[in-house]
Amino acid sequence: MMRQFRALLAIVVSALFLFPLYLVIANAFKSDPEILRSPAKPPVGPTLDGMSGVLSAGDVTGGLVNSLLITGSTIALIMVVSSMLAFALHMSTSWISNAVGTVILFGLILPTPVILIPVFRVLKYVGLQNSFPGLILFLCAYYAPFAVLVYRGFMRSIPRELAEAASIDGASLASIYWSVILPLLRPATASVLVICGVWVWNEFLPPLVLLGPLQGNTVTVGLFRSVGQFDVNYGQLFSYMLFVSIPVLAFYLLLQRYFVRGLTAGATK
Amino acid sequence: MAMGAPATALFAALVVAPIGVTVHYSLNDVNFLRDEISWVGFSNYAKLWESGDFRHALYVTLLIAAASVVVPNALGLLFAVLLDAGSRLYTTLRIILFAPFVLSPLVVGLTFRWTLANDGSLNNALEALGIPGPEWISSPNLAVVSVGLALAWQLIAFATVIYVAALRAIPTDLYEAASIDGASGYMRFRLITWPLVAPAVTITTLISLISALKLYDHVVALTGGGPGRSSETVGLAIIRAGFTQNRAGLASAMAVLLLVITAATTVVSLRVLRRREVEL
Repeated sequence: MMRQFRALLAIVVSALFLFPLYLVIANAFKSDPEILRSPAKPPVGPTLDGMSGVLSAGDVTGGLVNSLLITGSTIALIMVVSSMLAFALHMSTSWISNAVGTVILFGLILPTPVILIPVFRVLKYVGLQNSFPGLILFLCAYYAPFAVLVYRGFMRSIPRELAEAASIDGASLASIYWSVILPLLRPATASVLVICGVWVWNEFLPPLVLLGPLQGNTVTVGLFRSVGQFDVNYGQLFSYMLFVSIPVLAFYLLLQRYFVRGLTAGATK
Repeated sequence: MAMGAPATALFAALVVAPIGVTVHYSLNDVNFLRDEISWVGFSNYAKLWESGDFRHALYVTLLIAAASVVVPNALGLLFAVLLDAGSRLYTTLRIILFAPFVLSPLVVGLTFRWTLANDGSLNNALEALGIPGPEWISSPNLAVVSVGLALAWQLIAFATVIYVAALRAIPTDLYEAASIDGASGYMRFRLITWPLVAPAVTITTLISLISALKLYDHVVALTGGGPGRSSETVGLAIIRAGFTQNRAGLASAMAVLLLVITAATTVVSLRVLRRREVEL
């Protein structure tokens, strides 16, 4: 009896947390009058009008491609530069590496609105304003501290002697990193990819500010702009939200084990 | 250290240098349209001090930050105790419950706008219970509560999963030994669970604090900072001053203040919370 009650309570609580997602999925397949009349009802006789409407408007496909491109490049770059930095910090005890290791931790707490104005100026200075590479480089710099934290935590379990032994055998630091360390880091890499992937995909303010109005934008910015349009079609709006959510949810479900592990790895130093 | 150079250079150019530029801008009158910049000392900060709008934005941000530390920690631990079981059902429920955390804050904000609308699902449910639903989004105070709720929704999901991971890591024989020694349920929680989930408290508190202090997306999607400016956060105030009003100097002064507040609160809470953490 007690056991069943607990299970029931657990299901109710979880369902409550699923409600926003349910709202998105249910209303993406309903007609406008239905959505307005009863947004919480499941779609009876589901319609694809919303989905096809938002697809034929074309905006969402472009946004999805851009987001995929930006997210993919950013996390690939984060993976490479952060694991390299973490390895360098792991192997060195000089005051410079200590200083870098400490300063980079402050990147973890930095609110994005604080630096976006000057970041735009810096990117403009090197001719990367309103461009994908500019946005990708910024997001990489912004999320690298978290990735470095995860990698460093994970590297604690790799004995330094392993790399030292390889270097006595005459291997260069770069080749040790590539052939010995990187394969060992695979679980940490999975965590970094899935966590940073979700964060980068969901970013809204940096693409809004750094890509500007002229360039094609990400799917989150597209969603935001479609809300402001006059002739609001609710079915299309919910379909748009579904398109924004599906890729991250799929990515999360695929790698959810590593998601939680990466976050807790950060927690235990 | 050569291998660390790319990441260090990126971080220096696109995070450290911009912080320096922000501090510099905050002491100047900056006009990007005419490409003019002139030294004004601390007058931007003085303007902020006199601005009722900014003080209100600061108040809203700090209020939500305080709530975001307390609520997700408390409910997260509570739900984690509920969901901490080995069977398949609970594993699946935990995967489901975490989902809100990976959703875009814009999507969460927009769904909350629907749920909290005057004739939205929440008020319909309240009405069914015979309680008249309030105007969540269009009343100044409840608009702030609504924004806090949307953020808390995601943070509670996060906290629950973190706490479950922490609870699962506690060896069961500790509890068994305590039971044999005659410890009550409360004593076992107080003396075993609470100290051993300390790392989870630390990470939940820090993530919640940082998310709340940089709050922007949820607000834009849910209330747009309104009605009036009643639910405007510092994040919104910075972007409005910097981009809409082209007052980069003023926006930078707000940014510096936000950065100082974020650094101070996180460093202090980290100090306090780390002291509680024990090695097993």
